[in-house]
Amino acid sequence: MTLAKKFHSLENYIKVVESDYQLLPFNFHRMPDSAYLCVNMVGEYVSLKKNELISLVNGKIKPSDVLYNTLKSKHIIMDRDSSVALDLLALKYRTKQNRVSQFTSLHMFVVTLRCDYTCKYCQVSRQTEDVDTFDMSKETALAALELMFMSPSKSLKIEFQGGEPLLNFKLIQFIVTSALKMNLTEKRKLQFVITSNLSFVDDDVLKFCGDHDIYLSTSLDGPEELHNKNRPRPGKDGYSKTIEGIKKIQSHLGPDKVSALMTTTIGSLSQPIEIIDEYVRLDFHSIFLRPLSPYGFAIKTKQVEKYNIDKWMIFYKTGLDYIIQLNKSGYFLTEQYAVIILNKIFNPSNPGYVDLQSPAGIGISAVIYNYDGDVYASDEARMLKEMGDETFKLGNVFTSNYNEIFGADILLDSLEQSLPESSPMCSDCGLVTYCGADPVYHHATQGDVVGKKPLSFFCKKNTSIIEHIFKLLENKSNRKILESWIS
Amino acid sequence: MSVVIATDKGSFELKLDTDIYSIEVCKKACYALMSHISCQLGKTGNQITIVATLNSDHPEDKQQLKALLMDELLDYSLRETISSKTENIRDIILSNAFSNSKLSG
Repeated sequence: MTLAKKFHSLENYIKVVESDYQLLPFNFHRMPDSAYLCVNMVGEYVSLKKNELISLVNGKIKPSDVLYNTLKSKHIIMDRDSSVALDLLALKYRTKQNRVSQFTSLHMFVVTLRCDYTCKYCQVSRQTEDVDTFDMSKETALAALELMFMSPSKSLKIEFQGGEPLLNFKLIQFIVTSALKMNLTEKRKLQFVITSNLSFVDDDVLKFCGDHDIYLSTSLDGPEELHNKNRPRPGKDGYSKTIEGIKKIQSHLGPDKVSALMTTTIGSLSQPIEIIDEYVRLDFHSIFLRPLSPYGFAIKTKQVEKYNIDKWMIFYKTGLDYIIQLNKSGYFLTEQYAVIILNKIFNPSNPGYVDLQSPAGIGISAVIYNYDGDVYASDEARMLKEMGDETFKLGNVFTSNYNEIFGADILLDSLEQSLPESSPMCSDCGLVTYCGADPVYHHATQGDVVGKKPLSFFCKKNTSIIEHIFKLLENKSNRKILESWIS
Repeated sequence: MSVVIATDKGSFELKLDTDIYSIEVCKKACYALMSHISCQLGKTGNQITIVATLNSDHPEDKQQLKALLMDELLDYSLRETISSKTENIRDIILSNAFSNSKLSG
């Protein structure tokens, strides 16, 4: 049976009225291929040609144009039929900013500055293994824990840092058991992570970590020769000790209980494939391709001056392309920085990566308690202190209360001044929704928490990576892989 | 924009009509290119003058940088228009977003 009357054509239902739409707030970014990526305040985006963008801004897109509905569905424009658009945008914006209400969730404890390595890019001033004056005391740890539980965050992650934290394993045990005891009444979601070179992973460490669901995070810079060159250890056995530790943890605690990070030195630049293959060989399913940070020994030994953003981006793109090929051939492997960006592009909530947030993550997402009780706004802020710069010291666990530490002028001023939405260039940048602020980095490199973004490695790195990810997303098979990383 | 006048091999000059480009737009475009050029801005009547000096020692970059600065001027001018057309709506969205929080005034 056929319908007695056919529907009218689509055009019949569309009012042909020019300029009958309202622009919604958006920024745009000119991509390397000259397309204009238009992004609204919650990260929804559409790619336009230059003439399309000019028509859009001048109110010349007609309801009958295919582009009209795309712009409407991506909340770049609204018309009389989309009255809920503002409520939806408000809700999505609020969701993006939700982490701010949770406040500080990552609490890092520097349990010792002692270390068995002599890495030339080390970002803290390592001390020799036998100097226990650089160990955190139980009293300091307890005072830090009390401060930590004053945070309103429902989830609290304690990350043990060093030096090499396992050189003060007894204090780690004390902090974990004390935190769990305090949490009987606090009832927060507690997580523990030890960042370690794994030299001192023995049966006692494995048992304690297993009993208390503790994760371990280590550094693996690539194949043996590169790893040992970057991370020298007396005896030249750093690589074998790290691999041994990784395998022990994987077999005793499970493969998901250990992860690794790499740092890119000048020697790494020619070896992205070999570095990634090393991670695959160890059955890791994520890798974080990271440039050097401009702190500590990386400055003293001039490591950070040895390559520029262009060289690093070639390394990163080659690595990311290879990772995608590995996924296509059946091995699931994610690149963690790409995952952060993809989450910012596609997911309503903020991934909560401390170094790429707006407002910045210092203090309000993460805080670090140094071995001597001094409190710093971030791990990098603590590294600066080891270079003699105490700008981001927020207080001390014995002499400052919670409000003095988290309401410190240097923290609040830095957060306010560096807010990307009101910073020079960032405020007009189409990628600002996917980016963030790093006031400590810009203070360290330019002497100013805002930083001149046209001269900033941070800005160039993030711009280049985001541009590259959007380029990859244009290809269907690449897009499928990248989307699988955040699903 | 009116006339583009070359001054010497390491610099160039743009003369812009204030009816087309605001001084804010000119400042932002110059700021965005500070790694390539150093700019001196001046304003006389309805004309803005930008004298751009190349930071590099490659005078062959001049035409490319001139084109880049003109692209930036157009981009920032568009952004200024978008911002002025959406300012009220942005305020409404933000006030809605935080209406039930202690952040709203």
